[in-house]
Amino acid sequence: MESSYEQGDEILTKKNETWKLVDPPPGKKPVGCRWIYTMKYKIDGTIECFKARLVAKGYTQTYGIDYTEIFTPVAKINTIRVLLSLAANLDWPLQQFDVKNAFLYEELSEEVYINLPPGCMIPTKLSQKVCRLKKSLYGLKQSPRAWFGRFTKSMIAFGYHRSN
Amino acid sequence: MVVIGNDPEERKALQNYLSKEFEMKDLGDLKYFHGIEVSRSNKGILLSQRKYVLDLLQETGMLACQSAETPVEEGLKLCVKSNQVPIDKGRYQGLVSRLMYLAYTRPNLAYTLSIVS
Repeated sequence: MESSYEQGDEILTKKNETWKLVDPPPGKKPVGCRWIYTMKYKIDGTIECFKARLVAKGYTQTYGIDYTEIFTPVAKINTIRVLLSLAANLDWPLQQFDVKNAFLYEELSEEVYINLPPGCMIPTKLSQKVCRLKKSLYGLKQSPRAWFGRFTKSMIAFGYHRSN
Repeated sequence: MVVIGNDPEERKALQNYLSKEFEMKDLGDLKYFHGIEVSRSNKGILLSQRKYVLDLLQETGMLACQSAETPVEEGLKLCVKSNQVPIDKGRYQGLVSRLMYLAYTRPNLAYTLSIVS
């Protein structure tokens, strides 16, 4: 059986440069993390792939130390309805895209450290190190906001305006 | 992300641009998002929360229950005794909010919602 560890690869091969290995900083408490494993099924019930996702235990983060502002705008359901209605009435196409590992893109502005991921194969002399996060990770309190900021930046750079 | 527009070239340009910025998967025509199934015919767009409601019934163990046209009587007062202690507030509020989301495609839930919330 073939398994795909898309996000695992993404982080561990440093393709995305999510973190840097550093010595534990004095006075900073690293955030815990864990792997979440899910199986994805096809419509007929057969297994499509195994997914592994590293998540930070965001509930251990402290306001003012690990994060400050974390609110993020989301699409209002009525707005979606208006757009769907437009598409229905004007017979416009509806298309859907998915950004893979959306939360792993934005550079983190805060200084956040996480423990080494469980099961990480690493020489013993490095095992005392922690990971300084350069990009956000699933589970961090600031991740949704960071993704929104990153996405907004791209859309504005392409010439789109924000509705208000 | 859902893209709506009548300019196929612009849509393609946006897709190309975003693919350069992020690793992106083209899911084709909109079929399912946020628990809402979307189907399209020449008459219009049909939204359905079939899966959402089935999951809700499953979780609450109500799959085998009889359905009723009028799920709540008029003028019903919940919590008749003033000294009644609420049981598991979090779970109750969670269920109400799931019903609220269901009202997106089932506006006839509005009255019931006004009573339970």
